[in-house]
Amino acid sequence: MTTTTSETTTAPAAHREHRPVIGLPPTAASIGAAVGAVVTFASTFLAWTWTAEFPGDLTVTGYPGGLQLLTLTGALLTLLFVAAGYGVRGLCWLSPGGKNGPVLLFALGTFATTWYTVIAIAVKLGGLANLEPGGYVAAVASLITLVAALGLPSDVAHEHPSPNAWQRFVQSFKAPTPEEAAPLPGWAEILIIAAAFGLGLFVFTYGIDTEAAELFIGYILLVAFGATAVSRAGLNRRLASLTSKHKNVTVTAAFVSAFAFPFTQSNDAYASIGTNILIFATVALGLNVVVGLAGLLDLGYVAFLGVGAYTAALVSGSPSSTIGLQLPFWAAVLCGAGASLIFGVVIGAPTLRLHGDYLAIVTLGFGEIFRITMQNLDGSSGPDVTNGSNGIPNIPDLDLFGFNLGEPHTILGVELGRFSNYYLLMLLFTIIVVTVFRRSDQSRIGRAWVAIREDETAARAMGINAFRLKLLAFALGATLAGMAGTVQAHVTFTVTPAQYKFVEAVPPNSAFLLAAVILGGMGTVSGPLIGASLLYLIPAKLQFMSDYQLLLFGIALILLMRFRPEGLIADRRKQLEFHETGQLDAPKGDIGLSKAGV
Amino acid sequence: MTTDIEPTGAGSPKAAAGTAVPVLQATGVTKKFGGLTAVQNVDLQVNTGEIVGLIGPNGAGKTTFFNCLTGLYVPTDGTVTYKGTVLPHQSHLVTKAGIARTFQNIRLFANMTVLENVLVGRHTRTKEGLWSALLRGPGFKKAEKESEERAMELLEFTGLAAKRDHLARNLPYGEQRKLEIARALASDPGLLLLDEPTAGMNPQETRTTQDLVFAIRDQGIAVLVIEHDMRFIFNLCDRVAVLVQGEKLVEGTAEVVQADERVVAAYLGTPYEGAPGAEEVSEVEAAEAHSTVGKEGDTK
Repeated sequence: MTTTTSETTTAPAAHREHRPVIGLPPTAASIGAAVGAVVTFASTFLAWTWTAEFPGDLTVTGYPGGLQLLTLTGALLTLLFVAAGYGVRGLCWLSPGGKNGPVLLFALGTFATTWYTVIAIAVKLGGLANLEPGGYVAAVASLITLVAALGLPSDVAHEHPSPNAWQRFVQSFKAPTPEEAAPLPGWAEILIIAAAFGLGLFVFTYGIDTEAAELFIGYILLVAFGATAVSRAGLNRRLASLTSKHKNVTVTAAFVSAFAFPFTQSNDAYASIGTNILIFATVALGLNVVVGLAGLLDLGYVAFLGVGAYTAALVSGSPSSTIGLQLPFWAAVLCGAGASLIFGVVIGAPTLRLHGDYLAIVTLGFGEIFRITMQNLDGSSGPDVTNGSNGIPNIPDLDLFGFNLGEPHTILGVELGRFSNYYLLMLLFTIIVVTVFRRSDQSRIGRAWVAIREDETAARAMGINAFRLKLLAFALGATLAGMAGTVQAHVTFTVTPAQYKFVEAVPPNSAFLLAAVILGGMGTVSGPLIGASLLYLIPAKLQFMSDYQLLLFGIALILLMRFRPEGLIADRRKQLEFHETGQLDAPKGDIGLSKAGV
Repeated sequence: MTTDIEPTGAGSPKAAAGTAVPVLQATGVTKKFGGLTAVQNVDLQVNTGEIVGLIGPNGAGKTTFFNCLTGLYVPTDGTVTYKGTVLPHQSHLVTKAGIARTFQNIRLFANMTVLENVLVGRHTRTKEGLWSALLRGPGFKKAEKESEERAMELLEFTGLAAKRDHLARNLPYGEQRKLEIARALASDPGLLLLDEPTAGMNPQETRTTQDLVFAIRDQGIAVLVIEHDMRFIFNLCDRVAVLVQGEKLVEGTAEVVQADERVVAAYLGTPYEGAPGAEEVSEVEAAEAHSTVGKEGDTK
């Protein structure tokens, strides 16, 4: 009796295990999604509004522009992934992991971008009357695509026998891990890596070059959903396996694409965003040595950047410098790094005996002490060294080997402006910091840092001189920040105490640096770079939101900690820590790994 | 730049078995926490090639005594010498001198892999600093390779080689205990201190651990072990010391300790007036020798 019942229920159960959010026949859902995507695609060639007042000019029929291009891209990608999921020959490589999850995510991204555009038109121009029929077509078509995509069966079977709508919704985003790819010839793999970095550079420059806030919001929506879709499709893992195979090629490709960035910029204002991102990212990476590897929570890190910048400003030959000395740049870098190193050791030696929260509070205090000291060394409250809150202005541009970084130069037929020059100089320092980070991480010293972070008592019992190594991490972090500061002083012309607050609207400051490390992923190289790019780019592009910026930040960080505690880029260890790893017989909870009692 | 892997082990097993040279000598170790005297005037000697047990009821001060030996606590009074030199009160220097330990509550580096845990144990026996790591000279590569080879040897020895890339936190309990031992051995110690190595293990795992400890002794490493499992202790140890309320009650071979009335009283209490007589006591004593006393209520 029991056997028959179980047999009769098996077939529907198998079907139910992959039940979609909306009950549609799978074929109908696929066709619906494909047709919806095609119509959305076509709608971008229609006019969406009647006036060019809305940024991007969406008025021309037959010529998509601005936000329409984003919808077009989203629709095209949706269509490609529907085809890949349907098994169209030649496209299967697109989704080695999840098949329907990426379709849903791309449909969501297209939907979000399109509806955002339509609503933004209505709000900005005052009423739905401003929409042309093309706008309605796009809105309806993207909605149809989304509904059809919700009707696709989930890639991973439900754990729950009869999942409710929310569980089915969550499940539809999950994707299985792709199996190992068949090996390709070496040149093809290298070509794929190069193409991936080329694409990354293109997406990044597109974001920097967006002219209007509306366009940037649409871009962020599409990129966020698109990036998730690509990772669900398993392409990230495929790429990661290639990059780990060709490490040197990857590093070279990364720096070539970073190097190529200024050559894509015709406008030096956008190049300045790139330069500032690079300074911010480099300092964040230095902080990652302290926080990510050694686990020392430093809330006053920006002070070290300040020490470097002030030192460089004092020896830069600026007419306002109280020293009046002009050293060559290499000497200024050494001075800045050296001063930061000394400052780091002086602060670190007494404070590193503290743990956790106490260290955070003390470093926060020291960060503020630095700023206020710089403010008071103005001749009235103390000796005149830094001109107080006026800072040191008129820092001259650098002249390296007869190459004045302040003037535009034409290289390879492209005119590189002042900020492009500094971008290239800063890139050199980024390379140094990345190298220092990677090499120290993968060594006896790096292992000792991580051991101290994990359990200091046990680390000491293993023969690690915890205090000395913590001081080393602190001093190394300080030196790297000081080095970056020497370039920052020249880029910003002026060094003032107000640039080195704990928190303010413009990065880099201590709070944003820490946020960049945590957002990007602690203990990784690419994490802080990506985190810093996002944290700089978003406020720079969405200036109308500046009043709510910190609020949005807080919300974003809370959401991230809830849904992706390891940060955007997961450290290999963190990946194993927070997620299922296929390492069976893992004890539930923390059996035996408690830190109580010695 | 140079690697300097000093063999601080107590020489070859043969030499160890032949002569009884003291490896560890604790004299008059006292530790007071405010008004509470956790350890009082304890003397203990461990010779080369010896396995010495340290037993006592919960709260007797065994772990405190261990912490005094390894420099985690600064003893209020008394000295600890290792091979004739007085040990400093800093645990990394103690490890460098040649004493390695495990912890009562497993304290692995939970988010590092098995291999990395053992490599951290090699820290004191390698010398490459930050410059060497940044410049990556040939010396660095050679040292890293040697460290890894030694670590793999130890993982083979403890039977964990297949799990080298697993996170320590994902190992089952018994293997976490073994990994702690492998990590301690990585510092090439002359004396290994084991704090309740079989706590929470089933009889089979306990037997494996026993074999492991014998194998460690055969490498010429002296072992001092705290344990509540009496069968384990009496099978394993050449000598057993009993600590009760911070004071050393008795020290001697398994037979001597088992026969001592005070030990029984410390574990089971003194007979109250008018109840069990000598007969019952001897019964309990016999039972104790064949059971795993103290296992219950031991997991803090």
